[in-house]
Amino acid sequence: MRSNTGTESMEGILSATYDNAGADTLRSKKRDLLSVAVYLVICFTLMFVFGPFIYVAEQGVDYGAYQLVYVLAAFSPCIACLVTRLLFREGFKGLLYPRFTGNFKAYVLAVVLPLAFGILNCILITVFTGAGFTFKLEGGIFTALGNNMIMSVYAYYVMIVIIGEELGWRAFLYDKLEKLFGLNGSVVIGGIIWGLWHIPPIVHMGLNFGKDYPGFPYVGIALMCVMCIGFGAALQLLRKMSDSVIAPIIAHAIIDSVCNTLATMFLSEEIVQDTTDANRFIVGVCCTVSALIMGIPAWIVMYKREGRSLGLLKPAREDEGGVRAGMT
Amino acid sequence: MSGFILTDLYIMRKRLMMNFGFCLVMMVLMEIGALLVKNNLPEEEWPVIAMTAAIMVAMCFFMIVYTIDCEILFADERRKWNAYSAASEAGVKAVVGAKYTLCFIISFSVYLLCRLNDIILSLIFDRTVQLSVLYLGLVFAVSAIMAFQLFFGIRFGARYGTNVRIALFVALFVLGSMYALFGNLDWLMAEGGVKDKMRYILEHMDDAGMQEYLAKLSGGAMALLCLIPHAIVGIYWGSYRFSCKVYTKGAENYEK
Repeated sequence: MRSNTGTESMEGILSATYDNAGADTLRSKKRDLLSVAVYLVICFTLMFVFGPFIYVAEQGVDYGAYQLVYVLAAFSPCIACLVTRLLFREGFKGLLYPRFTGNFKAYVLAVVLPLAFGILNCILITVFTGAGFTFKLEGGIFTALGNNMIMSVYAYYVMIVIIGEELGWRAFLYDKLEKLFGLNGSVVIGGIIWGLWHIPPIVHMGLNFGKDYPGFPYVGIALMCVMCIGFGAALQLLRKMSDSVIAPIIAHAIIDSVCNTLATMFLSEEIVQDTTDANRFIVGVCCTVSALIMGIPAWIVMYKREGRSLGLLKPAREDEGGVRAGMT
Repeated sequence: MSGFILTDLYIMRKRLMMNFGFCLVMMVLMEIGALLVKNNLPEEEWPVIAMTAAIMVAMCFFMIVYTIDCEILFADERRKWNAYSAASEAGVKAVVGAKYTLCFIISFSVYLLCRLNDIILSLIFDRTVQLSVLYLGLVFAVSAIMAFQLFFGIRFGARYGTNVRIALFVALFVLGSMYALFGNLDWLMAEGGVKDKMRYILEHMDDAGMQEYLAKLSGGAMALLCLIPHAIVGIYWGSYRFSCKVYTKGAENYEK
């Protein structure tokens, strides 16, 4: 009698616990969804209101509010992330913490991966356009080295601007989306959102694809979304490997700075000099393909890592080796 | 490590508030001054005034931040604390790392303040004032000096570290002056030299024609100059690693 009552009460406690856990998960999901919605509203409002004004300066018009407008538009993901975290009381702990110890591989990859992307991009542009692929050394090896060194220094400056993007995308949106939709959902939905955020520059200054192509600007926006899915997967892998947003910031900065010099160094003059929109579109498409070639393996690696951590996949060989070494 | 950073911040809170408060007051005063001057000068002279104001504020900010950075070494220099922190789970690496991280955080905060000053000056003078590359250079310069000072301070005590910094300054000044007086400066100052190239790069950093210009540069001196920021990052990292090794030994020299 006593034991029955005990069992019943235990079952009651367990079912109540499960109910509570379920309700908590549901509440947490709703909260995450709401925070993502607030984040997107702030981020897109800032970009779409202030973004177009940046490109007035690109036309050579100097005006005082440019700096302010630039910060509000380019840092809109960061501003949205900070405001949302503040509103939902999520705190800012570890937001920019580098975590170098034990993550050396991730930081090496943060430098190597963008460089590989740059070289791959040059090869693809050569293949698609049929132009020559040369290693320009007219001024000697030091000239070539000097050019790349300048851009590598420029990467430090770009890094500060990129903090504005990565704090929003990798340190907030992708993490939230992964909780809501899983890994694949976060890569695809996150990439599309990131791509859509680029609409003002695509429309106003023909970012990456120029303005003279069939289906402007819709085709450009769609291609940008695909490109962002590829880049997003690679950068999110770095984020997961290093457990920090600093590694994706480094990689993103190198993509935006050093890769340009690689193109100048390896591609023939006819492509470098040709700044017509038709050429820009071909170069943009090549860039999209390169981003996918870089992103898909990164996505697979992330998928395997996640599966392994959930016990769905076999452990990696090195883990087995570790166990064996431990036993001996 | 964040605990150690917060400890140092707490110990230095009064100094930090005083210095950053002084920075803000100075920035506001400079901007009020710029507003007053602007109305009494022809429009052609506005860019020069704006640039001068931005550079002056930046120089003062970095002088102030440098004094804060130097205080980090003095913040908590006690033998007992050293023994306690070395025995803690976080260990020596976290204690030393906190000092290096804090130095960088403070320098970076000043960089952001300078950018804020740029934005306000741009609004006042109705034209773009953007000297972020100069500010970044100042962050690197402060980091380079701090890399030496922190290492010697941790190994031989804060006072010794300060003396090393002064000696380093004097040595660099003497060597630089000697070279400027008697050395060959054609590579730097002559027409088309590194000075001209650097100025062009700073002015046209975002231009579409920048790639073409870079392709035409003769690179030996440029490559060497551009190595400096990377070298500073390496030196800063190396200084941290060596400081970790000598931290316990250095604590024997602490005064308290």
